[in-house]
Amino acid sequence: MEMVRLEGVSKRYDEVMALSVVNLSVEKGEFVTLLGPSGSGKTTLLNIIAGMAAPTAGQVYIDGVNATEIPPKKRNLGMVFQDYALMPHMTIFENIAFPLRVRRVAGREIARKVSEVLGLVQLPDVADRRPRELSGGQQQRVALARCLVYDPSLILMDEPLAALDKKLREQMQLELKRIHTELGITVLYVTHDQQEALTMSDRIVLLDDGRIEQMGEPDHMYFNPNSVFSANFLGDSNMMEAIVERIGAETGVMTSQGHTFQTSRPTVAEVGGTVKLMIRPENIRIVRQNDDEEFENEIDGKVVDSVILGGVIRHHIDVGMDEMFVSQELNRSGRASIHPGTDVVLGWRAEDMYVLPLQGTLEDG
Amino acid sequence: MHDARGTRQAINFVLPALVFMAIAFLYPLAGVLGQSVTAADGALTFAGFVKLGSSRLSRLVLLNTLEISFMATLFTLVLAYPIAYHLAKQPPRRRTLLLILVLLPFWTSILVKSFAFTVVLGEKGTVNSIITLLPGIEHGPTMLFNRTGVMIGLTHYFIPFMVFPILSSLLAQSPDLAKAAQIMGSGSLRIFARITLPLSMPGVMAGSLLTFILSLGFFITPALLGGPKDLMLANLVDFYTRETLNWTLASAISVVLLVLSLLLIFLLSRIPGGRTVLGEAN
Amino acid sequence: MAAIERAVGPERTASSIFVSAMAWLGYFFLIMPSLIVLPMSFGNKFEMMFPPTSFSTYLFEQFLFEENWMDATVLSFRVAIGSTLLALSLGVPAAYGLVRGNYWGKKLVAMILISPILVPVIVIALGLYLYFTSVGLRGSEFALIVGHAVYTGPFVIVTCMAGMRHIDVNLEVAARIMGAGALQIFWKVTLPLLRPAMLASGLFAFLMSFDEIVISYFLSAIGSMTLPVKMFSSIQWEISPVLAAVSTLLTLLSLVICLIGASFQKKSQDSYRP
Repeated sequence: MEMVRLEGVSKRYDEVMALSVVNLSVEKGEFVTLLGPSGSGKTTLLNIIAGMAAPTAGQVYIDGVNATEIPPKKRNLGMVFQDYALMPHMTIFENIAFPLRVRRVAGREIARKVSEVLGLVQLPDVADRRPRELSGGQQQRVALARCLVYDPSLILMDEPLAALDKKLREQMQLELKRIHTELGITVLYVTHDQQEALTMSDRIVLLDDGRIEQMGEPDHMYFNPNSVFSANFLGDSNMMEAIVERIGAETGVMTSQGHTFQTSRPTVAEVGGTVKLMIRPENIRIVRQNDDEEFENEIDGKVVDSVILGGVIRHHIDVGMDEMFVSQELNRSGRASIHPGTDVVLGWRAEDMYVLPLQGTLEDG
Repeated sequence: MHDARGTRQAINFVLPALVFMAIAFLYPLAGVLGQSVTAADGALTFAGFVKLGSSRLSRLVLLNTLEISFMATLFTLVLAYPIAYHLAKQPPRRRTLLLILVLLPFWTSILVKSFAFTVVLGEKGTVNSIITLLPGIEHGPTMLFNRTGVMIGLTHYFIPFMVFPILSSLLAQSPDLAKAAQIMGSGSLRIFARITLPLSMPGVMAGSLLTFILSLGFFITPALLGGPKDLMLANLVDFYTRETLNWTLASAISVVLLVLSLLLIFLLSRIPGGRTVLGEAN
Repeated sequence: MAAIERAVGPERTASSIFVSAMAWLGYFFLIMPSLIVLPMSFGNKFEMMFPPTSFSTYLFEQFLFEENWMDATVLSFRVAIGSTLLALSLGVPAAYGLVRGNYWGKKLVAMILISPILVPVIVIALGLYLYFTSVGLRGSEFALIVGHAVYTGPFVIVTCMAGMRHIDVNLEVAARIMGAGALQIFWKVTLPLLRPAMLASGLFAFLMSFDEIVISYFLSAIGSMTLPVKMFSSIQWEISPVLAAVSTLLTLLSLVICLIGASFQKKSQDSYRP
């Protein structure tokens, strides 16, 4: 059952095309993240769905109804803002009661609903306080409560956790997810943080420069990026240019700067064409004596640096190519960092090496 | 400069101004205070203040001043708030341009403005000329040399003083508040009444208090645009100083005015937004 | 600073149109006096109305050649220049001493220097009247210059203090380390950087003095009236159409000084920090 549909939506501001021809469909109960760098159009898209901006072209459907001409106040949506947008001069109770008063709900009913929703966000005792007396995380939970109290069909969130510190952010991500699962509400979430998107979403819509670059489930997006941009945005990648030598049934063979690599089967490439090869750091292993794994690709290199990042170690390795290779391993005891200057052998499987077009997405090609 | 040498030398820089202010401002001010309790023969007396309290004229003028100042503040608020609201909604470029419309009268001589009003509000002035064009109307309203004239003149002068604090407090409101309210289903009237207006109250209070304080000591407008029933405290000071040469009474009135103003300024410095307003009054 | 969000779509409600209308009424009301005097000043001498029915520069000629008006104007200029120079030469160092100094009683000193702003002008005017009368100098140009300096001084100090805050204190610290004395630092380092603020406050102080009426009214004598005082008595006793010409010229002066002063003020806010 579809909750939101955008057909051919585009938005132009004078000279700038903020959004070009977006087609998107969101199912009821889905948690969809609009992910992208600043200027990618994700906030514009959210504003169009909210009704705060009108599309230059295209139609917006919400819950089956064409909402393109409907003003925001009649769309029955909820929205959570980065700066919480709590009314500073009202108590928490009055803040949450606000949308209910707009809907002329009776006083007793208001009191019941407010305390119900405060319980849901685990802040039962703050009703009489003012927003400035609460911490950032608490204010955001109140903002969420204010959204939920009038049962909107859709909740929009515009980088709601960006103002919180890291630990709190991670806690809140789980909180939001829990509430989402418990209530089955449809959520459209905007963020530039790929970590957040990967953690929380049922589906990610990746935007770049006003266009949808790729969309899909987090797993799929991470392991099957369709462009250089997607690969770089959703995780770390080792990237290099290569020429297509051979295209086999299961694999491909590419050459780059004198080295030959076996890759996963390229979908859009011709022999002799130039492509980009991508491999994630966690898929590059440092081959050790006691390893019994066979790697289709192996290369010699010298360790430049080994950085401990808490639970993982990153090795920066010079393999004699233009690009430095980064290999990432789990920081288990027994695996210490490697001395700079040590000679190592790197290995990875063909299927972990993806072929991406030089420009654009796999779908374009 | 936090070392002792720098500190001493910094004092040298303020010394000339300090000496000047002491001689040219504090001393004359003390003179007024002294004069208010000095009779014509030089004796120390509070008769001046007693006369003030008992005289029908001075009681009337004091009442007038308070009444006029209060009404002027009210009218100024009614006209200034929409201007400030309109300015707050403009994109920054356009707002700067429109601010010129507010700043130009601010920097125009009050004599020029008063003169213009005598032309516009007079019996045969612009407004009445237009009104008498309407069929059946022979005389327009009398708007000069009476309370109406004073009100119009004062309001015109004070609008910029009221606009700036209100504009400040409107601009300080996060735009997300109105956005959130809209999405939650609120119409624009409710947004204004429950969110925008309450949050702009500090600016409104500060602007109103400032306007009231300025109005108390006003001289030119009542003198040029008002009638005999519109005398304010400053006009009375002028009367006693230059007409009757009763410097004791003139000083006594000044002392009353000064104390009143200082009390209100103190009040202004205590309310939120008051301190900024005092800075903007420059 | 953000503006209040304009709602998307057809939110041109009755109330928003009403507010706009009120606002534009307000703008018109504010501008109207300045606009009215302009065409009036090109009318002829028998007219005291707007709109005028003829075009001539007669009133301007009357202004220029009638002695009283020119005398008043000249006096106003002299007093404005004198008091502005006085206010600047006292106020700029004072601003420096207040922002950079750290001595006992600094707050008190600041209070005293700014205090004229807190006192109603009429009280200042009376004080100066009594004082100068007692030393026999009432009506003198000197008294006017002093009085106007008291009036504009605090303004100069506050504006220059604001300008000072944009000047990186490390520039002075560096100069000190290199061996410069306090006066040298002030003259060679601070003052050049403070120039925009000085010029802006000087221009506005000039305008304030030129338009000042209450103090001038109390301190003037028959022979020595400043332009505002002459205008005041003219409006009170015998309204002369020449006033329109005077008004236009004064408004022009205000406009020119505003524009120049504003551009200087903007310059002083463009940071000097590296």
